[in-house]
Amino acid sequence: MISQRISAFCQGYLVAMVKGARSEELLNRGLAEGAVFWDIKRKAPGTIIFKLHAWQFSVLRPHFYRTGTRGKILCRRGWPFFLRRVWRKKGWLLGMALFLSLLLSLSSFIWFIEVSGVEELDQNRVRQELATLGLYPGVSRRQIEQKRDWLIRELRIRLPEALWITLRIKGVVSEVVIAEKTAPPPMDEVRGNLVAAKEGLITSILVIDGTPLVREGDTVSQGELLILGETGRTHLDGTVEARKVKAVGQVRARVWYEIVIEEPLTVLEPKATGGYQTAYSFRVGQRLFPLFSRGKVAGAVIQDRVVKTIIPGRNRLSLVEIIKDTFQTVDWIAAAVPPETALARAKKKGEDRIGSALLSGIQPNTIREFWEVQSEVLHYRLILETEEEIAVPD
Amino acid sequence: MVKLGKPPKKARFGAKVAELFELPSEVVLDLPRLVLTGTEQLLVENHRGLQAYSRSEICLQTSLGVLRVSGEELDIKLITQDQVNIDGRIGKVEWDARREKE
Repeated sequence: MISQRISAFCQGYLVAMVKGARSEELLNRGLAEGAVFWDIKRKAPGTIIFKLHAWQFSVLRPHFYRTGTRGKILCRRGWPFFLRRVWRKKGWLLGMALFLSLLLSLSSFIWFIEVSGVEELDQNRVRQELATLGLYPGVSRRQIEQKRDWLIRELRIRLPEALWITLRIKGVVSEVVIAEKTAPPPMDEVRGNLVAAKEGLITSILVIDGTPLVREGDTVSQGELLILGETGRTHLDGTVEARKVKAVGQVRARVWYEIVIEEPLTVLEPKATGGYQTAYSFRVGQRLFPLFSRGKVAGAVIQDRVVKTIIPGRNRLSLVEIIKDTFQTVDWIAAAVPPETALARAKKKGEDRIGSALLSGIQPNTIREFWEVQSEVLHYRLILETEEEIAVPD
Repeated sequence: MVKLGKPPKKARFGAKVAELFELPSEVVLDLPRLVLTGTEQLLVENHRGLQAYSRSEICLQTSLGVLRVSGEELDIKLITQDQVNIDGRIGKVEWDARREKE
């Protein structure tokens, strides 16, 4: 159907009206001659409006008289009739041609320049650079298309802040997209000195940037300046130019650690006196319900707890359990500890504390130990000596 | 209403041949072919002319007699020598042997 309509538009068609009692017969005679009718509508009794190809109307002409009907062309439609109408209106045609040619010629220029993606860069500066390179409103589009790659390259040279630049031309709009470089922070922000993290005796010093303020063999205390974040450059005329830098270097030093442990030679130990109490309780989740208890105790006690899990929960904490607490009255009795036992205990504690005193990866070079007994207390002292990096940023 | 009678000997022979060779009977026997889409469209192929046309009734001449299409706002969208496309609200499609005699 649509192809028939398109064909009719291209060939030209008529909207015609037939009046008469035998209008159907007229259509039949036309069909017999090979005519095609469409959009047939009866407007009134004896009046039919239809469409047919323009060249087929002449086929119908002899049959109007034979069928006693009258035919009338209401409208001529389609491309041939449109062209004929246009051709008659020369002024309109000329105006249309002028308008189209003007539209075509104007669209071959760039009228707008859009700069996007810039945050730090000044847009006016970008536009100025573009204008210097030949991209400005009113320039021919073809001219820019030819030297597009050159323009991008030149603009990148002129704008060192730009990481990459894209130039797109969309109709009369030239779109310049610039991705800016992320600049490193200014030197004032990164400058810094290296100071001593610990007290020590410097064994070696390596300066990569900055000015060293200590030498090998110096003893430094915690927080003392080791490498200054500043360098000086001597010019030929003798003037010295100071420049702020971030101090970089390594300062190794002998560092001593002291661990002191006091171990009593007399300790108090509990001794059960015989009285006791047993209490039972029931725990569900976080809630504890006392059940019953036996016995009676007073004074100092020791407690012993036995737990029976009834329903284990998903987590480590059991869901339901019965708890049996046994309390016993005790007397605290002083008991003497032999010095050998106290020393062994102190040594064990000292070994444990070495690990927490030193940083990971640092082993002591030498370990010296001293002990003495003073008023029923064993004083145990460990001196550790290491060699490690002590320079840290201030 | 449909009272078309016994087909002639030639037509019966043609029908048997069409059935035997699985040929389309509307071609072999020159019969009209009707395609009704809902109540909106009717396509009639192999007609023999338009007999009457009004907004409520369209009568078409066929080899079997008159085909009467009744309904509302009936329009003929396209009519050629072979086919008719009818649009509108189609209420009834019937064969009218009486009209053929007239």
